[in-house]
Amino acid sequence: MRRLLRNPAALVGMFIIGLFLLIALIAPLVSPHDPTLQDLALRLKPPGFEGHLLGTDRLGRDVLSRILYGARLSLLISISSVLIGMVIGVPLGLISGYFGGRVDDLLMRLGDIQLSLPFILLVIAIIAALGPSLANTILTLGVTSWVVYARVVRGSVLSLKEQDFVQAARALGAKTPRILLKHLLPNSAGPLIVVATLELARIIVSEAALSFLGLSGVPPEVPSWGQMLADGREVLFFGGWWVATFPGVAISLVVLGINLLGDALGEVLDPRSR
Amino acid sequence: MLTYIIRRLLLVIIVVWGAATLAFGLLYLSGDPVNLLLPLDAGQEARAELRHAYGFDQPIYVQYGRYLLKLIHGDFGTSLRSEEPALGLVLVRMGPTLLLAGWGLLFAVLLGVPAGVVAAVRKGSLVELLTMTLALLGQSVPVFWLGLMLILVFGLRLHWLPISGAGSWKHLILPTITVGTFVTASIARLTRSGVIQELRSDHVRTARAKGLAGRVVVYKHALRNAAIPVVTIIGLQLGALLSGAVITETIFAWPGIGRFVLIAVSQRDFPVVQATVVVFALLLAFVNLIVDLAYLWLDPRVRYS
Amino acid sequence: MRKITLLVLFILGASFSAWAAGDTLVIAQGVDATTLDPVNHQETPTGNVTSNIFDNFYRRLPNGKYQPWLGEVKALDNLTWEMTVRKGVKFHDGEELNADVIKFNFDRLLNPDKPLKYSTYFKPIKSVEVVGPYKLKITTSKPFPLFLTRLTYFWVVPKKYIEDKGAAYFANHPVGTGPYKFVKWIKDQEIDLAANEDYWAGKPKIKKVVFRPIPEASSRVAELVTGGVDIITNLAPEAIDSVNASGVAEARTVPSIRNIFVELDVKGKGPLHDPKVRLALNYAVDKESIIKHVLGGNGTAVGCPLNTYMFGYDEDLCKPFPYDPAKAKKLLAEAGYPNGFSFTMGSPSGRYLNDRQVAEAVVGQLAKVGVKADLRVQEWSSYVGQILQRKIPTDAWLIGWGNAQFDADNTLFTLLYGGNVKGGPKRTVFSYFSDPQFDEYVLQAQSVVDQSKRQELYKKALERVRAGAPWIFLYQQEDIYGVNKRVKWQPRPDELIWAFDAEIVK
Repeated sequence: MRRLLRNPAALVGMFIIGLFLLIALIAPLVSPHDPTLQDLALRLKPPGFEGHLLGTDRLGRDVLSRILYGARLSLLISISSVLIGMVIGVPLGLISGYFGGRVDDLLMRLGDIQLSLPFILLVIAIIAALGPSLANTILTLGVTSWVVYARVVRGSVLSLKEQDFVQAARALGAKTPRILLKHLLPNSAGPLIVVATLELARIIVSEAALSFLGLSGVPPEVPSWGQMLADGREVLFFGGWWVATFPGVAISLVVLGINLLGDALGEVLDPRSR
Repeated sequence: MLTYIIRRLLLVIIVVWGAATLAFGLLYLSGDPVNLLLPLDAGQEARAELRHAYGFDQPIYVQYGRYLLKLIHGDFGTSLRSEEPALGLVLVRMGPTLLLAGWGLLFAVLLGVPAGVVAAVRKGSLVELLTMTLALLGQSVPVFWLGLMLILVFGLRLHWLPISGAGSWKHLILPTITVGTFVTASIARLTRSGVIQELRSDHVRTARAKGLAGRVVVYKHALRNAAIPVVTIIGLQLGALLSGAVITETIFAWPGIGRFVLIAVSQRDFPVVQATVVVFALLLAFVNLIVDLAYLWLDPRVRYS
Repeated sequence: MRKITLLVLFILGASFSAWAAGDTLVIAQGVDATTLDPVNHQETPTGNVTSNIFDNFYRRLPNGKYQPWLGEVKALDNLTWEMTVRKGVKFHDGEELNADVIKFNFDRLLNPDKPLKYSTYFKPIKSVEVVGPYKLKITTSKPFPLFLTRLTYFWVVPKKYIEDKGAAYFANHPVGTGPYKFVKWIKDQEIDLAANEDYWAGKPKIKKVVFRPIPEASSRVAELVTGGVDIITNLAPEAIDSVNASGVAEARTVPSIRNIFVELDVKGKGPLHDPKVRLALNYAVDKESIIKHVLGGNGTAVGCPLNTYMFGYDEDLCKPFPYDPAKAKKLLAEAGYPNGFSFTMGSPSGRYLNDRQVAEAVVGQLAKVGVKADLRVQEWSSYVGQILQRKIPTDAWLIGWGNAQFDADNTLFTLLYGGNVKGGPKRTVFSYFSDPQFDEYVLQAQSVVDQSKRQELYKKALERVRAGAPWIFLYQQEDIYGVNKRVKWQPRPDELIWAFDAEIVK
């Protein structure tokens, strides 16, 4: 932790993440307007118009307030989806890489099967079976992303498990779970974190795509950055560049913060850098 | 080695069967394919007739059996929309997709790997700050926003490049940059983090201690060992690109498979979706085999027992 | 082999690219055609391409009326019709149009083993008989008053060509009698057509027509204002000002045959069961504001299920409900809901002009009279499936109705007939309204031939609808096109783009 605090990039990252978490928490206190309040006569007003610092959207709602409130849902969706994906994918990747053979074949081919199915088909079928809801959307986004984590961890483990320090641990009689968690996992943390940050951004945008198609379980009046992106896409060139651009900037900032933090975390976690 | 490849090729059959079966099940869950084939005011009778003509009135196990039987003979059926052979429709769209995926990945590797190495070797320098800031930006900009901005600048304002469509090398530039940027950024960052790790590891230190020149150490030892996660991500991204870069294809009206399959799913064109899934399964199996063989080549310690 | 050649050409980067210049008219739609068989598809973008290659038997005019085109039809009695085929019409490959060809067309549509997508329009036809080189006799199984209007869907395909080359080849290399000949089709990229100089109705003024699919709305507009394409469909209302200011292109609109409304599940015991509540909802929604702000002025508020194009429309009974929140509140209080109530409402996304935004605006306005509507946006195919199976998960749902027959029957009967007539047909799949008197009127109107009597019956039916308020009536949609100023062309209410009507002026 102390090493993390000495790293300037990590500090900037933590600051950004902290700021957004805080915003999500106290959105009602800092929002200048009700994010769901429409005023059709004030639609698509540019930034700065009569107290609308970042302008208004296609229904005359305050973009800034929607971004502040949207932080709640977007952070919730993206972070929990990434966590779900990692919780499933990382252990499977460790097992797949370490044991190899049949287990590896089974898990990796399962991954191939899943990746060959169009994502939207999965979503439609899940909604048809379970009904549309926020929880189901998060579950779908999370569960379907396990393959990425599993592949990355497996790749690292394949090469790590033959290295001296793992062999030595094994020779000293370390139990398999210990080897997996104490030796292999920390050593694959670097690429894992990079991939997780990639996924985070992808998931926010995926939610946008889903809501564009009417497949997101998120009700349309509840602001989320993804929905704002989807909403502003049509008017980006003509009519109101600000509707999609500012939520885009918010997404970029969060991803940036998580990346900075993630990079530093990767270095701290890497046993070889100690 | 050869036995390994043969075993993997046999497994492809299982993957294709698994993907085809799952696709069948998911499509069955996704609703009645006849819904959108007729106008809303068409009578129930006309709907039933069409359902019968396509065999959707049969019990599911009969439909599945027929489907598998046809699949074994390489028959994917005809599109419910255009009544053309589904496989042909899919393959026509694979051409532009392969083209875009190929160029996008080439762009990403040629740019991303050197950028990552430079950033790692010059750790703490201005060069690192610059390349990594760019990489972070590339990673955090939403793809559709980047694509539309490229159109805005190079198409709308400067008139240098075509806004949409395909057919000439000029049409390829903006879509390639759009799909490539994100991949470039991830490759650069993974390369950097891998090389930094490796530069600290014992064998590189040993190599350095033995007096090998810095550049040789970096390229012969560090980069090679850092390559595993990079190759993994390239494999994953290639897989994703081969199944179509939906957003990029949409923005640039690129005639690829991603958008095509999106429409096919939205319209419940079952045979087309099923054919696509099988093609994807084959491509992914192939890409992943290459990736696993690349691991072997990159790191001789890797073994598949 | 052809596919491989195409692939190779593609990779080599051979330039197929179209450019809106000279004599070429470039039209950009959201998606590509799915087939070029004119009677075997279910999408307007496909129809736009095929209607330039083929002719229909009756032609729809821009005002919604129709006229004979490839021939004429006369009713001999209630069940038989005489069809006369126009002489001197030739297909692009030289085949002559005659009664045999028309018979072949009917046989194709009526083949029960291989129904086509348009077969449903001609179900009542029992037999088709050639009685002369240019004459046919048609017999129907029941009176078929819509026969003539259905003949606007009767796009005539060649006999010899299809018999020689097969239907699959034909669907990719069509040959018709229309003003444009098919040249080539690169899937999802472009379809090229060339003028048919021997067209029987005159030489087309525009020599080359190219259709391009451009799915992204912003990219379509960008192509339009840079002169890359000449006509774009579904221009976003928000972009109209910029397009008009570009100096290159302008927005052109036409009222469409489509009405947009919110259907209410009036059955059950909830508040929506009470007509007073439903009237209140109609007073609570500010249609004018939605049209002005969300649709950029591109719509006309209506207070009934019909619009001016349709037979049976009545100006008085179709006046929009005024925006009157006070009255809405009063009605709600009378119905026993002084503090409002809540219900769920569904909407598609991207199906109709700004549909999702309209639904959100309706929800926002209902909130002002204390009615809380929970909006659920749904994927289109699932949405349609739920409607067709009467398994709608919400209490209300936003939908548009096109009524391509231009007659009240296909709206009032199809959407609202409740099956309350003894011995009459069962309730239709779309209807949630149940008014015995209304049912009587619309059913009677189906069997009456005298048009003024029908008009009278529909008027009475509309009175019942007005009183029962089974829907929240919204507006008649307008279709917005972006058009390069060099093109002389006016959009049509049936959403088709006919290059034959257009001209390029320099």
